[in-house]
Amino acid sequence: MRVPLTIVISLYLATICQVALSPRMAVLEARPAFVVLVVMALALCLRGPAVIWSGFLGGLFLGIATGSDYGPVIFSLILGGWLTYLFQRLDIEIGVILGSIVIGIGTLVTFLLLMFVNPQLGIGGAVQLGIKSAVYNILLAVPIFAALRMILKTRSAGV
Amino acid sequence: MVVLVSLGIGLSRWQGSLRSVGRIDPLNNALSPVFVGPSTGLSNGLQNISDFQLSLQQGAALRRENERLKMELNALSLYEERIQDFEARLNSIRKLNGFPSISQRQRVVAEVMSFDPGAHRMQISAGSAQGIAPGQAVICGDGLVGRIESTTGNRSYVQVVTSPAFRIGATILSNPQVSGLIRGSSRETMTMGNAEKSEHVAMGSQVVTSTFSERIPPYLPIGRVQKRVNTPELGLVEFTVKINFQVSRVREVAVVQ
Repeated sequence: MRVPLTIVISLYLATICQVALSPRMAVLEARPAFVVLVVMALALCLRGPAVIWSGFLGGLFLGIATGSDYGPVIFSLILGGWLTYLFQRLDIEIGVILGSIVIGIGTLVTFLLLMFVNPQLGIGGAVQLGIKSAVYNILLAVPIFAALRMILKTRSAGV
Repeated sequence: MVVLVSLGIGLSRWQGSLRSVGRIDPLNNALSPVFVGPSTGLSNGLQNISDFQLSLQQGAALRRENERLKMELNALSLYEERIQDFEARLNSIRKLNGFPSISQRQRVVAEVMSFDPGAHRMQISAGSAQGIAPGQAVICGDGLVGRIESTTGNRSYVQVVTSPAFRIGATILSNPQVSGLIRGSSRETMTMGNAEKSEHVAMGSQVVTSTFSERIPPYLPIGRVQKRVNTPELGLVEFTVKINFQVSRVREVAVVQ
């Protein structure tokens, strides 16, 4: 029960932060993408089916809270989360720092996926937004990933 | 994975079909308050803290600026009567010539509840209960923000001017004026295409809404000409227009009915 509850609560809090905090935390147009960050962090802590559900719920919550189109957001978060999960299966010890970098790369990949399914964003816009959000997410991922890993009690070794 | 992605696509189609008729999907309608309530509370709390800090640092300067703005407002109100007089005379002449009169439009003020820069969509705190309908113009102090895309009881979604799907007639205030179709192109700019006889347009010229739309009032500021892009082989001239404000910083808007 702890895993589903952690997924729902962490994604709910991330969605609220996305709506309330993200615009206020903008630095040189870079804004953190909290929901993407939490989905990627969960992808490094959980097993396959839970990762897919995290992506689905993250996209659904984001669609409900901001009015985004459900389809592109859900698709890109599920696939972005799944690709990040594959990194977990590489049998590398993922510490907080390495995990944060992987989360940043996952954020960029998710934005690129979003660009393919949501042409409104445009190539330039998606790449720019993705790189800036990825850098921001790497910084924010350190405490968030560490906290989620502690709550879900996954392996704690590595870089 | 396939089932959940398919479910997402199904939800998206359902959302899109309702949005095309100006409605918000029931899922969003039912669950949005669960997210919007806490996020608005948090956002307002942070805004209060920020305002308090600002008042401590710049209290005296803000008071002086407030007094100056009040004086400017009083000065502007003197023109208001003349404008109303001119409008009445214009309507009278239009009536004599058989044209419908230009009606005064009501404005509904609303707060911005969320903004999604990826989807170029903004959520505001006023909806059909306040008489808001799809297609109406949304403005802020610096000009046109967008138009109402879908609406429900006390909430509406706004398609922001920067959205590539946003298209509207616009006029460059040069002499002579240049009109064309303007569309969103990036997060801070719009593109006005196919503008003919535009050699005389100076950089920095003001761009406003045209007189050709029934829903969007004319002469609402949109932005300023930033760049001219000539493609002579296609016989096209395009202008890059920088909008007057940063969309993510807009907190209050008014819907022009």
